[in-house]
Amino acid sequence: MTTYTFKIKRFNPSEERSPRWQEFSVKMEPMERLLDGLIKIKDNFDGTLTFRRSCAHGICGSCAMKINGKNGLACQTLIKDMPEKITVEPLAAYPVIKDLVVDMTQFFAKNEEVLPHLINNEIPPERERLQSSHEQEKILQSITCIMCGSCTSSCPTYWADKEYLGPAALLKAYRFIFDSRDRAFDERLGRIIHAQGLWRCHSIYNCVEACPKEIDITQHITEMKRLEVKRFFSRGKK
Amino acid sequence: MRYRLQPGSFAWIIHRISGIALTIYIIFHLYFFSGLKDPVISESLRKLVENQFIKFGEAGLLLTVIAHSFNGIRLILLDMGVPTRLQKTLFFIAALTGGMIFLIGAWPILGGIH
Repeated sequence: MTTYTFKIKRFNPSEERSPRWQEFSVKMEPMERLLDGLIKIKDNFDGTLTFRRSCAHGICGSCAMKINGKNGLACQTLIKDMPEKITVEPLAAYPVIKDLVVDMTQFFAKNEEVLPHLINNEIPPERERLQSSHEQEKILQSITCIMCGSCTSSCPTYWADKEYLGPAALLKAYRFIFDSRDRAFDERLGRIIHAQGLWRCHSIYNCVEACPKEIDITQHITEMKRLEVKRFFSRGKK
Repeated sequence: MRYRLQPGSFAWIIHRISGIALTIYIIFHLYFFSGLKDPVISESLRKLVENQFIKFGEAGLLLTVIAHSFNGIRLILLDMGVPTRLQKTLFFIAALTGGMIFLIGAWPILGGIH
């Protein structure tokens, strides 16, 4: 067992004016996760420490937070990969509700803006709508998004402009634009081609580095940019 | 906002700063050089160019132009279809070749060749 120091950013906006740092020394096994450390702190040192966690297996995305200056999932971060002093903060750019819990209302509102559901008014087949493996491959990475918010929170463009759709919403737009079963192609593109949409991505790659599911988000955004450029130059040619 | 730097975000910061610096520079450049037809201004500018501080400035200008243009090429390549997983590799290639060209260019500017 090794002793790790957790330096956690604490903040209760209803009682405090500004955030403060608090340190805890916790004995950890190498194969334990950062989330286990936070649970130990809450159980043994300070029950008021507040954080979200649900599945604890990298699926729900609840425990996304800034770990040593970079966003990631606490349940997916092994202690053996960490230095002995670990800084834990809430996800940046979202309003803090308490300690490591942030208000993700705006994040999900942006997701709604890009119509995150299949649109197809054709008569549904008797069984499921089929796709070829090639068609499925196009959206394979994008469907693995768990909506943890790590990407949008790591994006400097989003820090500067909260009206920007952000990488998560753009990835969701890609997921349906390139879905062979969807029929709302033009409407979907229309929803991301605006001043706070697709072209506000400056290829900084923080989102790619932050994504716990290792989705190459910028590659998806770039493909939509190329699609729109091709569409722009082929207008009126048909 | 504090966040861990990685090659992509570092390149973005350099690109922004060099872009703003070059925009400011080009305004001053056009303003001063618009007076070149005047012999008095022309002579004072010629003397200014010989100043050692201006020479360092010129080397700095070369570095700014190289940084901005090489990262610009990196971004164009990535937008044109080079897989984005190569963004870090492209950053290091741009930094290395840009650095070499800067050294070759800055040497005569700073008086290395007479």
